[in-house]
Amino acid sequence: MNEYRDIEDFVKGRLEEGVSSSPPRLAEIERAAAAESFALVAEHRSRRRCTVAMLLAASIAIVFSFAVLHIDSSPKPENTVACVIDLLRTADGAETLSETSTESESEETTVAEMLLAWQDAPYESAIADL
Amino acid sequence: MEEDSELLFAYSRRGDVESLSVLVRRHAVWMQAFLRGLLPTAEDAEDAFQETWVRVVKSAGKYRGGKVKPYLAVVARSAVIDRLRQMGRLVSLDVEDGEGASAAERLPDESPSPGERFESKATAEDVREAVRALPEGPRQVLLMRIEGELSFKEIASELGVPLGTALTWMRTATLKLKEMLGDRNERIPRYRRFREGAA
Repeated sequence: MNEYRDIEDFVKGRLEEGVSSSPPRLAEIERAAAAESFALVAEHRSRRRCTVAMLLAASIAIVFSFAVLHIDSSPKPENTVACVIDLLRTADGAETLSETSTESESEETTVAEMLLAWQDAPYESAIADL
Repeated sequence: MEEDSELLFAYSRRGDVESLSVLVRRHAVWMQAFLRGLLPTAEDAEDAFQETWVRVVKSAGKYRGGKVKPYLAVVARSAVIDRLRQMGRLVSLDVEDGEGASAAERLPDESPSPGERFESKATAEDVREAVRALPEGPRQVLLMRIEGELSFKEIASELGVPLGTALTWMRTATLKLKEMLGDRNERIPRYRRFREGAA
């Protein structure tokens, strides 16, 4: 592997030997660069303006959507659907629902007890009732 | 000292022509050596040098950072290809010889033994001749590697060949140059005589 490196270094050294370090036709290159520079700078500025405008638009969109979401999330009593949803969401609503279900459960318990009581009634009493 | 990428950005973003001039001067030597290795005459290399920088100037707005030297080598190579095409001397990289073997397969059998040092008395002109005598593929890989400092992956991608082919071409170039330029038997006695004289 050393020899490969040796050959590469040697060839590089020899190829660059005697090559002028002053670039050929530098003045022509500079002229071309000066002519092109205006277009390049204008292109860069326009690209930068575009990027800034896009960032600004994105920021406004984010702030706006955040504000709209915030407003939408507040309760609206005049809206029936919103009221119902609100009722279901709030703790009061949950209590109402639980109360309703408790009442219905107690009603069911009473009926069951009555049925049981009826089934367990002494035969004599039933006859007497007749 | 400013980085190459800073100089290129200074030109493309602020129109600083002086920064570009610094960049041109900084890369003048290796780029001329690179172009002289790929083109038949010094005049062709000079024209290609100018053409390379004009292309760099025109495409500077598309530069998005990264190593400048390999970027310049790629631009220089494209200028060379166009020039050779104009001259009708563009050779396909996968061209085969009369016996059906591609350049990559025409490898010398000799392999260097580990630790062996390469010695040569070849002059700069001998080396340029030897490099120009290399097959197209190995020559381009060698120059892109040692002058443009591209990675083998970048070279393979640039030449449109598999990575293995790029590596094989580099080996071919190195071994052929060793064969053409090496004269160890002459050099070592001279070196020994110098040591003995100093003692």
